Amino acid sequence: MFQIDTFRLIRKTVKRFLSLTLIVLIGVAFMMGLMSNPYIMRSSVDRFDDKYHLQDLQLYSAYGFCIEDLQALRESEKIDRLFASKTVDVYCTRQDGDELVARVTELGRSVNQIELSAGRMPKKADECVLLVNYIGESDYYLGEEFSLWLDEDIHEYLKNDRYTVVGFVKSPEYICNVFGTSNLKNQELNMVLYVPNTNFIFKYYTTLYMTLKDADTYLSYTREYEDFVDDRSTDIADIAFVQQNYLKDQIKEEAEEELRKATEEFEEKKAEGQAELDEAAQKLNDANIMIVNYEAELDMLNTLIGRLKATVGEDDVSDFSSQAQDFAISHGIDPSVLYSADVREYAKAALDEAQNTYDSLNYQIRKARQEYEAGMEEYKEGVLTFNDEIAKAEAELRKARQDIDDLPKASWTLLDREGHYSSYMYDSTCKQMAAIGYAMPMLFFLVAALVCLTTMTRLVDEQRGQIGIYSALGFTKKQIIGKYVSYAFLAAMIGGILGILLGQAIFPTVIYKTWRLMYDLPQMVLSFPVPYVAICLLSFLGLMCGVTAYVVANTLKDVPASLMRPKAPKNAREILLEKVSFIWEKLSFTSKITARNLFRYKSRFLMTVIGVAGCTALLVLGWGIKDSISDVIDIQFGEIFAYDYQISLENDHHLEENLSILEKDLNNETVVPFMSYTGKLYFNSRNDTASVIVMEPRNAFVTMDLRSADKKLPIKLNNEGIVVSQKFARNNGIKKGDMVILESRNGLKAEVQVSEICEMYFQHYIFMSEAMYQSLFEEEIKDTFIAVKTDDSESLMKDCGELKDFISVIDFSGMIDQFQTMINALDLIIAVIIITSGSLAFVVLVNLTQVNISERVREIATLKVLGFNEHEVNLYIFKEILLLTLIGGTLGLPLGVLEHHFIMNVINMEMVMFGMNISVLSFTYAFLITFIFTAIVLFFMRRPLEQIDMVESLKSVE
Amino acid sequence: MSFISFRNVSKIYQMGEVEIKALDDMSFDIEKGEFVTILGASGAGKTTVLNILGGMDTVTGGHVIVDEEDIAGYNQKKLCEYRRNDIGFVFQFYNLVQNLTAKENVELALQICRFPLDPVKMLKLVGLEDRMNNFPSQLSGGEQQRVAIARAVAKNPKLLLCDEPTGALDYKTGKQVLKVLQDMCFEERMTVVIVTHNSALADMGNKVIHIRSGKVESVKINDHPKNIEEIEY
Ligand SMILES: Nc1ncnc2c1ncn2[C@@H]1O[C@H](COP(=O)(O)OP(=O)(O)O)[C@@H](O)[C@H]1O
Ligand SMILES: [Mg+2]
Repeated sequence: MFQIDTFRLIRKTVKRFLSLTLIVLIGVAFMMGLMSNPYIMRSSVDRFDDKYHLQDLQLYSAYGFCIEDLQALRESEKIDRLFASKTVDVYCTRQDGDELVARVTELGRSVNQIELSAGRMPKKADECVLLVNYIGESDYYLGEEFSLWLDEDIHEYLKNDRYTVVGFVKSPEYICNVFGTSNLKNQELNMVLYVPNTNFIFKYYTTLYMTLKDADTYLSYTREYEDFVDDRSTDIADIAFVQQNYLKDQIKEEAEEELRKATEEFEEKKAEGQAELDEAAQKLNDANIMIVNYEAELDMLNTLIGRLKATVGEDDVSDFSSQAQDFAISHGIDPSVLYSADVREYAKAALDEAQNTYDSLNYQIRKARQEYEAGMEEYKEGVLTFNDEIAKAEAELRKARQDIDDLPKASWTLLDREGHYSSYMYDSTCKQMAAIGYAMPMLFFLVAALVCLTTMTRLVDEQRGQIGIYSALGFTKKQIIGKYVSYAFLAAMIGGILGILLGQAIFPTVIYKTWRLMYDLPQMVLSFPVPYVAICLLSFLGLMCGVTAYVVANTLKDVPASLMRPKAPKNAREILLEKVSFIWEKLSFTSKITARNLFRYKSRFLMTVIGVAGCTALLVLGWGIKDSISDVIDIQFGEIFAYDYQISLENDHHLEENLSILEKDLNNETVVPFMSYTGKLYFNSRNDTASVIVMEPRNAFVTMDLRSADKKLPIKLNNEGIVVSQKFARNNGIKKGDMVILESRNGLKAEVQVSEICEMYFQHYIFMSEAMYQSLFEEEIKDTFIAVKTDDSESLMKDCGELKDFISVIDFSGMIDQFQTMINALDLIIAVIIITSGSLAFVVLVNLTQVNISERVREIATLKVLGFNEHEVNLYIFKEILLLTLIGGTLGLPLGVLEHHFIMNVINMEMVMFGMNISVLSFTYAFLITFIFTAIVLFFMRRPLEQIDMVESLKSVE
Repeated sequence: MSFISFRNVSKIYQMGEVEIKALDDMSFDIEKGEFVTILGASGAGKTTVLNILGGMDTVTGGHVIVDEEDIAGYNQKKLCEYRRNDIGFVFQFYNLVQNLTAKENVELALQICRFPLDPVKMLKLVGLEDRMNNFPSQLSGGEQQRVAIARAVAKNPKLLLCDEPTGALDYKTGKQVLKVLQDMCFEERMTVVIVTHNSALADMGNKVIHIRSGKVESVKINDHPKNIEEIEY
């Protein structure tokens, strides 16, 4: 009987019941959709992670890993899968000349497996599958050939340096569209190539990937998962602690052994060399002695010749000295000859002969001396070289020794998923979404409470008589309250269930789709997680039932008899405004009425103002997000970077030539060379990388509009310090005037002051003048980049063809396009926001008008009898609603700004600095649309007003 | 030609299958400046007559001539104009706007009126000049009804219609209200029609129309209307 009554009540007050249902529906849809969205995001990716065995843990070591390490790890029972991977980061030149940084790694993985999304898997050693961002939109194609290279010889690492792309893949290891940095001077990693493992010719494994047993039963990114992994990984950390020195020791031992061998060899060679030198010295010595002997002989011969000459000139030849006789004897001349008659003849002959001997001996001596001298020279040189070589070899040995002593500490780095770039990024995104998911639905909860309060208050007022009768009949308070609570319960239940269905259908899908701009996400898995369903349903059920019980209990305080009389109308009072008579007097009559009514019903006033303000705020938020991203494009690429193309060259050998080629082309407005590199900056025990741009101040002025982040004043590059971009400064807590340590192109470090923080919306930059760079690092400037401003891309491309050492040209419009797609995707979110905010406004306004009308039926009928025409009656009622819309809308604008700030700070992308300004146009849209919503509601509310029957309403008070 | 002339007016309410004849071929006349009392038992059709006269309800058949115009043929818009300019209505339950002071309730009527009378003067006329700034909830029933009369009169209507103006009032306050109405007629020369089921009030006007079951039973002319103070009921 009582229940039937509830249903009859619903039938009688269908509109009111529906408005309760609707506000619960919207509230629950919003709450459910936003709150469970992070769960949906996580579980969808988690399924993908589990399917392809995303690493739970990862091990790095400076030495790599050997088979023994693997064996040691296999001891652990905690590990499910263990995969040792060989990986190398290389440069990759595409067929069109584009140069990229690629990571080459193995196929056939048990951890971090890949999913083929197009093409096939490699069959030959020189085939590969490719993992890149936005495969759909990129210009990579099957059959494309890559050639890989390194500054050193790539063949020390890979057998093949050319690969053909035969397929495209996805991997849970790389779902974020930023792959992280490579080992090549920290340059951004652009893609991953998976090649057959026969290609890897280095000995040790680069990285070990592991999954833990039972880890896949937990949802990634949750506290439970993290605790589980933390717990299990202590085992592995223990093994790592013991095992981490193994390979180092081995390598050290090998090196020691090598050094020992080398030292031995050196000693041997040294001895050999010394012996050779000694021998040579001996020989020279011998030669010297011979020369001395010869010279003595020559002396004697000379004496003899003197004597002979004398003999030939004299008659007396009897007096030959014994010396001459000796000489004659020694030369086979019979000394008697000396005394013979024709001794003169003989002496003559002897003289001739002696003379001949003398000459030949003299020649021999000269020759020997020459030889000796040459030998001496050679010897000296030999000694020098020998000493040199010894020194060099000794230095080498010393260095080898040093190297061994300097071998880095063996330490294994164990990373969990927090250390895994993609997982870390995605997790923070999910956390951001969760923050939004908890903050935003509060608004709807509040509005729902107020709507329920007004609706139920009105309903109970109308039902006073009924309640009085029940009460008089002896029904208990509980029973009566129960009747109305079950009314509210039904509305909340229907609205709640529909809201859960609708919320899940809309919000996660739209949000997931939007995040696909940043992440290469797998198929979404839609589910209805019980805890969230329970929270949403219970909170709204509790709210509606609680408010209703409160309202009914309040009414039941009256005794039944007074309940059956009409409720004493709420006492009208002078409102505060009337005290300000100079304003009050100026108000038109209807304005006074409106003002009174507004302040008469506070809960209604609050409900409408909050609801409408919420609606406007949501709209401001929607367009504000769009503005924020447009700022990135418009300000970044329109104002700050005033150039259109960036050409990069291999070196600066032909810079002048190249510049003149570009300058000759009159289509190129500005041509400016500059130096750029990825540099590390150290500050307060943190370090971070940014693009360092070194430019002539004059050139910087032409190509960029650098201005201070706070006051937007122009910045000139000078010798006082470096200019750091806004977001980079904020990420690292750097302030103007801070001293930081910056790396040069070649890795030198120097301390420098941050002289300015500049406005910048995309990526991280550090700017400085050439003079500053030189004074900091005393390094040569190598301008390998050229900034060009032109409208004619065709002629520029032609110019590029003529450039020497040309590597690539970046067209900034490509980046603009990327942002544009992001902005377009946001239209979907804006549409959802418009629908949501619209429905919020509708519910609140319809509720308000309905309550207003139903409560004032007599008043309206009276007005009609008095002769107010339709238009005047509408105005009488609607003026109030329009005024509330105005107040709500006006309050909604700053509220929207707050929401926008909150959301933008939560979204907070690493590389992107979102604009914080909302354009006037966005405010206008938000405001106008709110009024359009109001107008629509009012348009539909005209009919019930028209239908109020004078005759009927005036008969008697119910 | 009388100022108001009800000619063969019938009003039938269709309640599903059942037809209810609220007025059945009713005719009567009212002259300008007359104080007319319509008398009848509950359910006789008094309110229906008044509603039709007031332009709040339409007839099923017949003619209602007011100041030479047949309002029976009026559409909604013209009826609204008629109510606005020609009619002052006093309700059984006062129907003051709760959120407006006494004075404002009177002013409310003036918002739409072409030749309104001064609201303060009107309130003085009904003896409430001291209560002008009170809200209805701060006034007694009789006072409220007098505000309602002031509101109706301030429009300067051709015709003042009152449906059981004392129905919700006690004897004494009822008399006060009726006095005000009588004064309106006899001193301000306004045509007044009041509906009542109380036959004791029959003598207070120039004309008494008795109705029963939607038909005019009798019309009595009373050349010497009694002052309300002399009537006991
Ligand atoms: N809106 C209506 N629907 C149906 N019947 C009505 C309606 N208004 C009045 N009636 C009927 O018309 C008759 C006359 O009513 P009414 O003029 O209010 O009587 P009185 O005012 O004399 O008490 C009554 O029988 C009443 O039931
Ligand atoms: Mg009646």
